[in-house]
Amino acid sequence: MKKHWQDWAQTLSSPEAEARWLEHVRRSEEKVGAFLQFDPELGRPQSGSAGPLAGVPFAVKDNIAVRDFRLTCGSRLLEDLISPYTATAVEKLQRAGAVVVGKTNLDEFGMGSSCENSALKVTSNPWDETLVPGGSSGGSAAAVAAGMVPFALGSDTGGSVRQPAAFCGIYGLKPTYGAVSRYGLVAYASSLETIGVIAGTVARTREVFSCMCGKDPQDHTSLDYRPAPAKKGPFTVGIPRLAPAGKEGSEQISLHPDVAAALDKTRIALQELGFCLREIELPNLDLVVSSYYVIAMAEASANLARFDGVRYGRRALDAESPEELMRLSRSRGLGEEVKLRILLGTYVLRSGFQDRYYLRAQKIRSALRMSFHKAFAEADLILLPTYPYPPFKKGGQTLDPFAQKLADLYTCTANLAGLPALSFPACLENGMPTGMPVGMQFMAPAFAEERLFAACSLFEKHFPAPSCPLAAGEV
Amino acid sequence: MFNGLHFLMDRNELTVTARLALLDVSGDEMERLEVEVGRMLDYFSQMKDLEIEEPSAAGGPVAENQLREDLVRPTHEKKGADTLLENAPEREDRFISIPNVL
Repeated sequence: MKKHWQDWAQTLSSPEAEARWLEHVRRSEEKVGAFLQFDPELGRPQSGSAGPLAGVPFAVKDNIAVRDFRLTCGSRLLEDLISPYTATAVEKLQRAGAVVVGKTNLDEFGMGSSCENSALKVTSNPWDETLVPGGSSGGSAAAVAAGMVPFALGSDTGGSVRQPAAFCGIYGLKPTYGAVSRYGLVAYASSLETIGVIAGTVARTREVFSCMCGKDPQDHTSLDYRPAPAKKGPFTVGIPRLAPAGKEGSEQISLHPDVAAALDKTRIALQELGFCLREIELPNLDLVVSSYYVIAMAEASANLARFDGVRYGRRALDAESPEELMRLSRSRGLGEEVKLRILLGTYVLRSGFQDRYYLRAQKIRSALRMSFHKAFAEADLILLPTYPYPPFKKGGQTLDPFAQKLADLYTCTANLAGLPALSFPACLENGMPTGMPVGMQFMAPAFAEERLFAACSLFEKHFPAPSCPLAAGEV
Repeated sequence: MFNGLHFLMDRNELTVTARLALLDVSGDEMERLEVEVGRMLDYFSQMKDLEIEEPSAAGGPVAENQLREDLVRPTHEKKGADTLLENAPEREDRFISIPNVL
């Protein structure tokens, strides 16, 4: 048992520690609402008693299957679904001894950046209950930041692990595409998404990742984990030249002053820690959000066709024909954001429109991959803000759903290119004007997760994750 | 950007698309979705000036075929298919029932 788990391993083995923990979870949940289902007893018998993570509790986003737990995906349609099987990534962690204690809230099917698209629950940011926790893995990030679990699993299709981790002041890893099996992850956009880790320290993130990566016969896009050749520091960090705000024809979003200030401070801190910084070019950055949404929605329209109320899920019992049954079950069971994405996805794939949208989006994707290839010839890592804004208010007034989509710019590039990225709490010395966490992310070449961990743990030594007041009673 | 005046998909196109997607959309929801769909398509139209020669490619960073033997394997679930049937909304014995087809 590594030192960084020690406190947590006792949680489920000593009755006194467990009682204290349950009380902390109860109190925090009243404020945060991270869990859609919390039931440590259900998870306990499924885990091995020995292993590097023996007895460590963790939470799982509710679009990742865990046998006997519900699998709602935050949707009315699947509210009563009990999973008959367990995702490979979860099974590997259970074999290492970790115990699933519950399922966390999310934007319905992972579609959103605030957790507000969940049809089942409202989740708040543990730092400030008037703010969103981010999304779509908002429940997982909130549970970790509030000290309810030491780590949680999420899924990242366009930033859904990194953005909530940034909003909650913790670490969020989106692994290389194919490094972690997607078997048991409810598919939204298959070519973009990965299961990722949210944790309070780099060491925990790293160990969880190393327990769950590797090829899985149940997922033919998974690959043997062959780490990229190790590289000793000091690392060269590429910083993309971001187009000035308001540039003619540019759709790029200018950074919120807090994020811009955090980026500056982080840049200076990295230099002081011995990193070499270098400006790099990432052309066509203003087209990646279009490319990302066309591809994600096209894949979503196909993947979500399976939710028809026939074999599982909430069924329209008043339907008089099989087709009506599917139409009514879907129309009543799916939320508006999900319908929007299915409609757009269906549209861009209709005959006659593919050239205009889908094929162009794939070309942008290929070109982006090439630009990263070039960029990594001159830099070991790339630094980008995780999100252009700090955590925003609930209710969609400060940032409406359309603006939230455009703000995926900095995260969705890693998904389009299949590359790993790790969001870490930025340097906040002297406090930011809002006092809220801000995240930065390192991106690395495929299978170079170790480089992300090395760079982030060096940074963490000097700028550890801020401690959320709600987690003060941690364990 | 979106100016609220022109939509790239008219109401009729949206209805056809909804039918293809097996979704009923009407009333207020239709109005809201029409605006959002228009906004996104307008945004996507920035791709029209694109001049990129590269062939399109999908998938992850490693492009190689992953094949397996075509074999029957036992399910790893304890109760096999019965576990799956437990989630069916309406059943008759081991059959999932739906409204009459004819």
